[in-house]
Amino acid sequence: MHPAEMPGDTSREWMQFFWPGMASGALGMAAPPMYASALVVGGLILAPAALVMSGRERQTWQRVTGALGSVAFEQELLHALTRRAQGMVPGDAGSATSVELIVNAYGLAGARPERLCFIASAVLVVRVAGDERLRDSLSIAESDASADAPPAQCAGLDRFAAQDGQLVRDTAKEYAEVLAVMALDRLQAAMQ
Amino acid sequence: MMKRLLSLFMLGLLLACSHEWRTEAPVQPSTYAAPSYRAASSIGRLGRLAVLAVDIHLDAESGEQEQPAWLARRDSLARELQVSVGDYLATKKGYDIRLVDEPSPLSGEEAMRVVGKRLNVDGIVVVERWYKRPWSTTKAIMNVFLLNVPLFRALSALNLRVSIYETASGRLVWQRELKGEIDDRREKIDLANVFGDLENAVPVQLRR
Repeated sequence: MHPAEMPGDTSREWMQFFWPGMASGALGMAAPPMYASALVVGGLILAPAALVMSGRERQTWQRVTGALGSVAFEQELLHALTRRAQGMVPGDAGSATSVELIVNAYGLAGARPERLCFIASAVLVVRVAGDERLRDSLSIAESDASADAPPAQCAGLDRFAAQDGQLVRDTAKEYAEVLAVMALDRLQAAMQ
Repeated sequence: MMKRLLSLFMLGLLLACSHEWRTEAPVQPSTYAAPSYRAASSIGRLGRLAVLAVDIHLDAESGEQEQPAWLARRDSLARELQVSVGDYLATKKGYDIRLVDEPSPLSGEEAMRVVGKRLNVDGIVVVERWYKRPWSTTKAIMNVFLLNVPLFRALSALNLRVSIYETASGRLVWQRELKGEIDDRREKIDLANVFGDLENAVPVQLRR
């Protein structure tokens, strides 16, 4: 997985109804009168509906992709971590201790647009004088989530896309804060 | 013109099968004061919710409503649904849930405010469920003679309504309705279909 995870655009699936609709309409032109009207009406419903639904779903995907693209997740995580770590972690100049929080993935995951989940995963690494002292994974996901992680935000694609992807932006910002708290909780636990 | 109206009518019927409403006004928690990273109208800001006793409307023959078996059945369905709703909201949506054995106050924002404050929660969940008896053969035959009017009435009848009220103001902030007659022998309701699009609660880590 890579940062800004996004499932495949499913809007093209609607287009599988377009050509059968066109074919039905064309067949209706040449069919005997008894079948012609059904074929033409069927074609007239199927082909434009496929175009409309496909276009609508593509726009929805684009709004979500746009919102996800506008998120500066790593920077927000860094800000949250720096702000929340003040006074909690000793930060002596020239200290031999280094703390790394590596973002493995963030974004939307799911098989169907009816239900997608915002996920985020990172690895916390602490080194003292070059020796690795702590390596712990932090994950907010529907399955295999960390024990201290909140439930993943899941919803339909339309819900994520509403108000220009408000839920995507809110969730990303909140996940950055939560990952920062989780990382600091682990650090504190390790220091004790 | 008629075709367009008919299409709109059919589309309206399909959309009416389930309906979600949410407030656009700011939502205010009552039990914590921490910076929120949410939109002001996010329902998830109400991190602690009380689920009141479920109001079950169960069809009964005359005199059946006084029978202990019928009452036990109704109470069991109500308790089962209340526990399922509480469990779903807690495990899948991250809300702190308190199951309360008292019924929903009759109406009014003031009543909701009082109940919410007394229970020390940010919001109140009110669940209502309607069950109908399965259709009899007579009713099905009558439906044909009545030009499907009973069928359309059955399809547009409410079977579930979940409402969330904010304690701070007593206002309704979220509501979801499912339509279509169901009978009480049906399998358990899929709550993902009810709460799927509801925002998660503000995580506990950010409510400290």
